Amino acid sequence: MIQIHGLRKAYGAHVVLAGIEARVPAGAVVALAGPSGSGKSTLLRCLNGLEPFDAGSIEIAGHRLSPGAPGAPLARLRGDVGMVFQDYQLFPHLSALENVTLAPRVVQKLSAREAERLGQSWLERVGLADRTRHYPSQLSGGQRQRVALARALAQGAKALLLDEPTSALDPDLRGEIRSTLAQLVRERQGSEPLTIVISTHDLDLAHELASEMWVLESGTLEARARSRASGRCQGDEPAARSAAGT
Amino acid sequence: MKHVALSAGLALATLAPAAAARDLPEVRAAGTLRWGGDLQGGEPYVFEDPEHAGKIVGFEVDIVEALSRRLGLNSEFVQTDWASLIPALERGDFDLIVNGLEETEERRSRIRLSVPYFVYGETLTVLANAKYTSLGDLQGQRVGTLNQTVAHDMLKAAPVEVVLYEGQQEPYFDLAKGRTAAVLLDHIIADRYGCVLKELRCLPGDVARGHYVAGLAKGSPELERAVDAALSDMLSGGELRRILEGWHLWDGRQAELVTSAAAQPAPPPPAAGSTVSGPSVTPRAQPETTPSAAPERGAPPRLMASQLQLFLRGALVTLLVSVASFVLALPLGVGAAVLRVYGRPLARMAAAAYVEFFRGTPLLLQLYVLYFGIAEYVRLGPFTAAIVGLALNYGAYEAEVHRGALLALPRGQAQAARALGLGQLQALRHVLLPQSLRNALPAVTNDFVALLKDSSLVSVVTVVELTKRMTIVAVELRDWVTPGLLCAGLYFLMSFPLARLARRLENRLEHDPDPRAA
Repeated sequence: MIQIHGLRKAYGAHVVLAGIEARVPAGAVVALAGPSGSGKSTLLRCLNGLEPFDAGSIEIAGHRLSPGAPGAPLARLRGDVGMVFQDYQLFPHLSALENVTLAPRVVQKLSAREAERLGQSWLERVGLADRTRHYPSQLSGGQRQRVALARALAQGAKALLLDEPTSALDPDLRGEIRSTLAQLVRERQGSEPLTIVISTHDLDLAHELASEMWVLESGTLEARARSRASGRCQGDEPAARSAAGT
Repeated sequence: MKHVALSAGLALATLAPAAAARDLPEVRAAGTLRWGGDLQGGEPYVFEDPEHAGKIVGFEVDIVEALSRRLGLNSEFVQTDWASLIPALERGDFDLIVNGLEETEERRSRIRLSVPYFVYGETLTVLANAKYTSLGDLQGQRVGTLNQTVAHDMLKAAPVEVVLYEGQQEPYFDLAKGRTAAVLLDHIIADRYGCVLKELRCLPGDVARGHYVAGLAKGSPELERAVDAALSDMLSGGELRRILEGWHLWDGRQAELVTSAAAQPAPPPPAAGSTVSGPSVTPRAQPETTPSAAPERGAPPRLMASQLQLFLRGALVTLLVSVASFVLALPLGVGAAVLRVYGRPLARMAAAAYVEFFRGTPLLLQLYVLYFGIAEYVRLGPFTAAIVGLALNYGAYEAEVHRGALLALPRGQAQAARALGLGQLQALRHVLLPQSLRNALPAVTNDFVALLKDSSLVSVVTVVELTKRMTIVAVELRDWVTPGLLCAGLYFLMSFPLARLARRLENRLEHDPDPRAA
């Protein structure tokens, strides 16, 4: 699903990614850990072409990215790879539903009705059926995060990149997002598995959801540890929580 | 803006006591006779010597110097905008106006006028191949002249459409370009700027004749007597003739000076058997060209319904010109801003050059260039030139407003749009511009209100808008307060509801009380 070879990225003399090698099978959930400033966000942004890189190659959801200027296929790549930003970046002038339906309408050229039906169903799946007409400023942090999630998924994404999805939330809301994500992963098991890369400091989240754990340090994926809650049975929340607690 | 400030200043000047005028003893004590004129009137009246920077020459300079010598005084020139000469005299900025001031009843009722020192003829200039032979042939045609001149008064009374200019060259320029059918102005101006152009022809015979006189404040009877005596002496002694000959201005018309001086100091009698009491011009041809609606001497005319209607029409012109130019300036500015922020290097540079050029040069100059400067290649009508000029100028200001608003958006917004697969134009249209436009709205409203007032500058390309109408009526009424207040009120009535409307629009778009929260 995702293959990274010799990925290098530097800002001037500051090397952020120094030859990343990684492979993520379809349906895997990867937790990307590492100290602040270690390049987690940069790696995620390289994965969907938001950030050009200096050397190496990336293959993601059937699209190939090369160093230098990203070309025309980026629009199609982004239809397959959704991204949720750390600070959500919802569009403040659009309602929750309009945020979710923008890409289906404008990029996938769905009719307004189709897009609305699609958006409505995604907002229902993240538990916001009653907040579709609200503007971002009228939603709580957790609700905004879930709108951002629905917006990324409404494109029909096969892979999802989540940048610190819980870092801006208090513990209660973190749980809320964790369970929403867990439910999504569960739903998508089978014929159309959802591959997820999550950069996070939230160990609970990592333990609960991730099948793999990467640690990014000094520009390389230093350690590749299996999460204790490995396998595909993350849906069993209480069990995962107790495992993390011990 | 400049005009509004000017008229407010004039209104205050009118309110101030007229006791500021100096009479002969005070002038003698000071030793210097101060006289007012406008250098913009140009050659041969009063103008700066092109060969000696700062030196002022002209036939009126020579006359004033001869006059001062006779009074045992030095002379000092005070530069004043021509339209403000009379209020400036009244507030005591100088003792005397000598600057092609035509002798009219209106002026005589407001200030004191000396014996004449020059006889001018109103000259009608037409295109060289035109068939017109007199003012009567020009019914319904556009005829150009300068504001606040006797020619203007005559044209107002004639069945023609009057086109007003600010400078002496422009009326002939426009005539040569076919924008008007004729120009009526004093022969000094016509001889220098009109008759010399090969495309134009000056009709033989003056349409009317009149006198240039010196203007004095009402409170200086001794100075008036001394000036009259000195001028008469200069005429009888031949000095005036020598001065005028030196400037090639002595001609058959000046013979009238002798007879006219003999009739002084009594004011000329009203035309016998008629109610005509307007400018004391002697009609040479069609009597219908003499103003018939001129006010009675002494009693200042009051604002009439027809003038009020003209005021409202002026306001409508202001509104239409402002709205039309802003409707063009807005997309122009947004486009330039988008290019500056997101464009490729070349587009960025082009947009920056546009902004810096139009922001860095005066609007007045841009209007002149659009209307007169490029007329050889692109012939714009007055309204088109006014609207295009304002749009280009304000487009540059709008560009900076919108550039700022785009740069103020969180960077993540553009990235989020790209991450959703939106192209650059789609991101601009659906994500970035809707937000930046809302944020720019207060500044945009501000600019529109500024444009509404700056639109008064388009009078230089002969568009008669609200401020121009105000100055015309003010001169007719000899009062700046009433027309000034009316003008200010109309501007306010146009800008205030707009500001309210913009505020409501802002509120309607206010989904997000704190844009940083999302």
